Amino acid sequence: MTPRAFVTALRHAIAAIGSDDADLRMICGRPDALVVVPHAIAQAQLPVSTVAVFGDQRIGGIGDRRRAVVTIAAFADGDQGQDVAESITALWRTLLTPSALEEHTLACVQVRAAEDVEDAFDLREVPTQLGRAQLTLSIAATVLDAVAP
Amino acid sequence: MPRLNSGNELLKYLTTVYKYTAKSGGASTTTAEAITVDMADTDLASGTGVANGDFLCIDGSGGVELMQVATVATANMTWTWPLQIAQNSGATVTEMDQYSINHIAEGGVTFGGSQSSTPINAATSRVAIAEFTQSAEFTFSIPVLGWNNQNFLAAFGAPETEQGAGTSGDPWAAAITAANVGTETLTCFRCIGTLENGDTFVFDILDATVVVNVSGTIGAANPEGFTIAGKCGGFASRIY
Repeated sequence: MTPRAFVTALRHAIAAIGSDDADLRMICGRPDALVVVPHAIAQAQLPVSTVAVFGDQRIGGIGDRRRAVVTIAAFADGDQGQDVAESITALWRTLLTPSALEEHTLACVQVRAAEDVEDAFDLREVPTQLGRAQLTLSIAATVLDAVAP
Repeated sequence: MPRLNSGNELLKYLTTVYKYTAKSGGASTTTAEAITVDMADTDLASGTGVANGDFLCIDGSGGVELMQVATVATANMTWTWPLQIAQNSGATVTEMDQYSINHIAEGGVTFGGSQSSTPINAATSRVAIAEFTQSAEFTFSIPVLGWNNQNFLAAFGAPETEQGAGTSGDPWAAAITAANVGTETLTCFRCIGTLENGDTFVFDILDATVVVNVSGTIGAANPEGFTIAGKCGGFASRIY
């Protein structure tokens, strides 16, 4: 069995949390395609969120515990686009709790305010007329499962 | 395990940390024979109340050792692994409760020792003719992340006697006062992990005494939990 990459496991966990959230569905006005990978932003239905995970630093504690900087960007169009984008990132801050992440095969999760804020998204990929908001967190966790090679 | 002198013998992960304290109403007896290093089983004065899998602390002339019973045969205990600390007959044997304290901060568990020495000088020598070594002091520190009353009590050296049911009318409750600070009795900790070559290591912190040195934060941007720290009577290391 191949251990899952921490970055991948964390990104999938965050996407799953957002995709399952009723409030995020209500804000976006649809039941799916709420979270896309960064390179798909330009073609995505709006409003939309995307998740980028930076770093995979081994830290101490129990098991193979890692820390990464997670940036979630929200994009929305229309006259209220900026308000909508900011409401989405505000919602993400409430969704990403240690207990929510620990329901996705992560353990010993710590979610902290990030000390290093990355501007993760190449603006050439994003139409400039969109409202945009960004949330950056530092998340430490241990991946519990492995996947078949 | 001989020295490998390679990356294979580096410590890879800490996987589990346990705390052991004397079990209220648990088995309590003495050894009925002297213990020698590498002994695989031991006769006790009584096997009453001891079951397979129980953890026992042996506290005697050689110090404290934490052992697990593999097989009980009346008053003879076969251990899960051989004893490492020699003891005179009549050492106290106490059944221990095991608690997982498995949410450790990224600083990890630290341990150490220090010792000073006094030179013995002589007029006939330009260098000290001997060193008089003082008693060594062993220390440990376990940073636990969970905000719970058990960790709160443990950090102040108090028995983990939480009250309540977790409801608004009967909350989980604990208090630290002059009556209970530093009163926890026989305590050991066990750290279990893996080396780079896949071997398991077991590191025991024996006869631990919490020396209160707590500096907690509430309302900080990134709060930590509690630190259980103090001094101990010894360490034991096993690798397999």
